[in-house]
Amino acid sequence: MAYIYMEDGGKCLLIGEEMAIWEKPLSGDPFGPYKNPAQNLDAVYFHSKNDYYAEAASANVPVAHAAYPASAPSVWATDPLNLITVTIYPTTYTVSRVLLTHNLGYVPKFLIGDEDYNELPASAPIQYANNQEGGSRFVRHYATNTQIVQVEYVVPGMGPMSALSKTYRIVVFRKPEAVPGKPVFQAKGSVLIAGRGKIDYSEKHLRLALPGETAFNMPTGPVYDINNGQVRYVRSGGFWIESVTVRGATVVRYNGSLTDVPYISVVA
Amino acid sequence: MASEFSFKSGRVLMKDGSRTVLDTDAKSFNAVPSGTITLTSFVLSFPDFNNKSYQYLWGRASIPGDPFDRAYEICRSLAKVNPEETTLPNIDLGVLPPGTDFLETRINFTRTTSPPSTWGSITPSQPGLYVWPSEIIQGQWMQLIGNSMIVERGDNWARSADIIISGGHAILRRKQTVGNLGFVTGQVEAKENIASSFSSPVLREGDGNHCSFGNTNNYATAYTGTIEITPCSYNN
Repeated sequence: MAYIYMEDGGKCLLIGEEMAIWEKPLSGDPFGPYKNPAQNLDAVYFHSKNDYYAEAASANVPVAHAAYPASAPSVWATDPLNLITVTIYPTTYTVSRVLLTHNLGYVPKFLIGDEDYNELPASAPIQYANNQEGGSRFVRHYATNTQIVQVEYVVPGMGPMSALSKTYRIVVFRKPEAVPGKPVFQAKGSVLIAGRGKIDYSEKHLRLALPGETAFNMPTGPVYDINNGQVRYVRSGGFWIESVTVRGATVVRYNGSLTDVPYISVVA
Repeated sequence: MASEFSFKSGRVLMKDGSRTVLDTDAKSFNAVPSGTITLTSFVLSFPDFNNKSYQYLWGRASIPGDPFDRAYEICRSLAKVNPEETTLPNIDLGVLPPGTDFLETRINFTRTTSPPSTWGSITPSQPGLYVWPSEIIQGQWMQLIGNSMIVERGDNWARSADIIISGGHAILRRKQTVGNLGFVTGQVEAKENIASSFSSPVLREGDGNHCSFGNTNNYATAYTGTIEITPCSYNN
């Protein structure tokens, strides 16, 4: 088995049965990250045993979220003399829409962000009207064998919800599989392949952004906190939106301490 | 388009034309397939709210036109949940490879234990009108970006779950909160009484025949399904 080994500026590259690029350890086995990448993850830049997130499909999808009227009051309980009447405002709206059709035939991993490239959590609040008994709009997303689907859920409460225009940026990743028959490394003509196709020159891969690149803001820690019955969702830059509960003249607010969340800039 | 591979000055760079494919100055997300934690039949649960009570409503009035000058009296006790801030015990989801600094997580859950539907009644028995809310799309794969999610929420209450890296393990944290003033979910009991206007009220809070105070609704909730956590590294 022929090996190619190069070392420069503390980086090591070895192409053999596997291919790896790693930071040379300050002590111990200098080939440790090549031999056992799972135990030296922070030293490894690339290893053919690791997986990479390669883009299979992407789209920027504008969505016009509709305006909704205030919920119609519903008398839940009354009595012959109208001594006690219990009125609720129960109307909700659920709208499903396909954001992207990928037809991969399996359920892929994906990321989704808003028009400002803020990645959105599993159930993201996108609008709070602060109405009594409601006033909130969320979007939730899931993947199937063929599609990325958005489910919009609106609770108007006692006030109306205004229309809202958003753009959703979606990236769908293919299964990070090696391709049988492809070499562990190939640089021939315009073809450039590493790790039997896990990195392919023709694909985009999820990585940290370089200065000047348009990048997603990806949270690396929990983006939600709940307190006093309310939800605070913190986006990059310490900007947050939060729910409130309105009961007549009383407003119940979040009293927790989440003000910032670590984010990194990534491209795919 | 010409591709390029270079290794100089401590930087490995693969490019396709002007597009960067792989660059040690902008590390790719390295996922460790052998370290993936897949938990099937996992139960994500939240207990009953720990401070339940009631809101008492009562009214009495003469029945208009009644030849016997009788009075109509009614009581309703509504099922209420009082404020709480509860942090539930952490759950260890598994060991992570050393150097893991990012978790790529997705879930597929179905609710298997649900609180009662809202706006029903315990006595007289009356089913609720509205299914207890959930932020989880049942039986579908949701990507857990940020590794945190609101599991359930309503007006003045919420339940959350998130997964963090701690001590080389993936740890599930859960919280539930009910805000100041609490919230009402339906009815505990309703009663009415028709009596001589000269009779003393019997349905007021504290009277001998008052509506029940016991909110026996169980608001515990649970979801069963799969959590799939892929450990990654983006940092050196």
